[in-house]
Amino acid sequence: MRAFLTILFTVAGFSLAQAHAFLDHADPKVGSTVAGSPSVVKAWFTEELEPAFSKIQVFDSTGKEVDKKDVKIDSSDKTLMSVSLPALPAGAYKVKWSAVAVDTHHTTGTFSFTVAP
Amino acid sequence: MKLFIQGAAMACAIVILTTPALVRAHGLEGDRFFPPTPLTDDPFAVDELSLPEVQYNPASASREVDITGSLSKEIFPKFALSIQDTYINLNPKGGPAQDGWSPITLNAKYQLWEVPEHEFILSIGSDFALGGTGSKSLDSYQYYTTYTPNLYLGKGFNELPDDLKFFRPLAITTVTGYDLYANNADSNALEWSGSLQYSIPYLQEHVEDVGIPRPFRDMIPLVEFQMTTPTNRNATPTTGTINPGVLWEGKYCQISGEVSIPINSQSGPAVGGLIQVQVFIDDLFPKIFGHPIFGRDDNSNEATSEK
Repeated sequence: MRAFLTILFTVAGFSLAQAHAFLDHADPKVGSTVAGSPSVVKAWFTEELEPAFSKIQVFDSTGKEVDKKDVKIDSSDKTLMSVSLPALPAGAYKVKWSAVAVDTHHTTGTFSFTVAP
Repeated sequence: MKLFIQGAAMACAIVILTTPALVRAHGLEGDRFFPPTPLTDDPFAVDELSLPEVQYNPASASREVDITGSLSKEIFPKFALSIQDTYINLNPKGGPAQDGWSPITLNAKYQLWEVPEHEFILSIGSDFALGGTGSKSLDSYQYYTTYTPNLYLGKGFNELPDDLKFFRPLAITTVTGYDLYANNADSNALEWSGSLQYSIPYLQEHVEDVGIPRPFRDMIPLVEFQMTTPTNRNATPTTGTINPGVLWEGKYCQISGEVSIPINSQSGPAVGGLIQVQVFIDDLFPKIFGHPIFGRDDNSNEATSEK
């Protein structure tokens, strides 16, 4: 029994290994409607990101990229990736992210937010 | 055995409460993560380690505890081989207890068709339960090999309209196989199983952040079914179980618990249960696992620059 518990705890969370980076939360929030155009989209991940290979993009309802293409990984919090936005008209927007954790695990994902009229 | 199950349950509870964050591995199709589930083999040909799966079946004629371990390794891109075995403890009413190993089962699987934007995957494969590799102490000992060609399917509900957006976290997986026995005595059988899952991580990350806290936001409630329909040679009625439960995704492992409800008296009159621990070995040992031995595929965890 002791050996089983030791193995279980080791593999469950007390290892020094890294893992895949997934979205933890975002600002604007996933699926939210915001009043007024946000100046930046921020996304926090579950692992620290590799800046050279991670990116985040924002598209309007026609599929046109509308962000300023200035993706940044926060130097003091490497789980935070952001991109600046111009003033956006009301409408639905799709955020696509591609995250590479520092151990090279690669994940992608999407979410949406809406700018209220 | 009772102590083992109690210990495993306690350990699962502690791990859930102390592990800080959700991180998942492999099994991704578009935004969808298809977790490996206890009774329905997932459609992905990737590296997986299941150790242990404990299943408790309190049937009327016997009380059975199965402990299963399996290891899967991607050999070529989208093609994996796995090996599985089960230790069976059987306590028949009015009879002597039986302990022993089931036949060693090998599996080959290939991801045939994937459409990430539709969260769709179709795979083919086959199980080979090797005759003569189990324990002769079990009444179920087989000296002959069983071949089971399988069709695996996974589909997410991401295309649902905005009015039904809270159903988008739903997904299904199915496995349909046909047992072909290498003897003329046993009935061949259709094996059909599946899962209906509601992914709370998918809801939070891709549909709407409704503020569900951990550990609940790392959980996937699901219902699985596992059925066997004999088709010839004195075929008996379909037997199987319906299995509601929940799955929790940790940083390097996944823990599942399900209740097994028999569908008819031939499937057993009593409710059983199972616990499974699935280890994400590609996260634990990224240099060894998480990519094929030969070649390189899209599921590899190697970084690919897109900038």
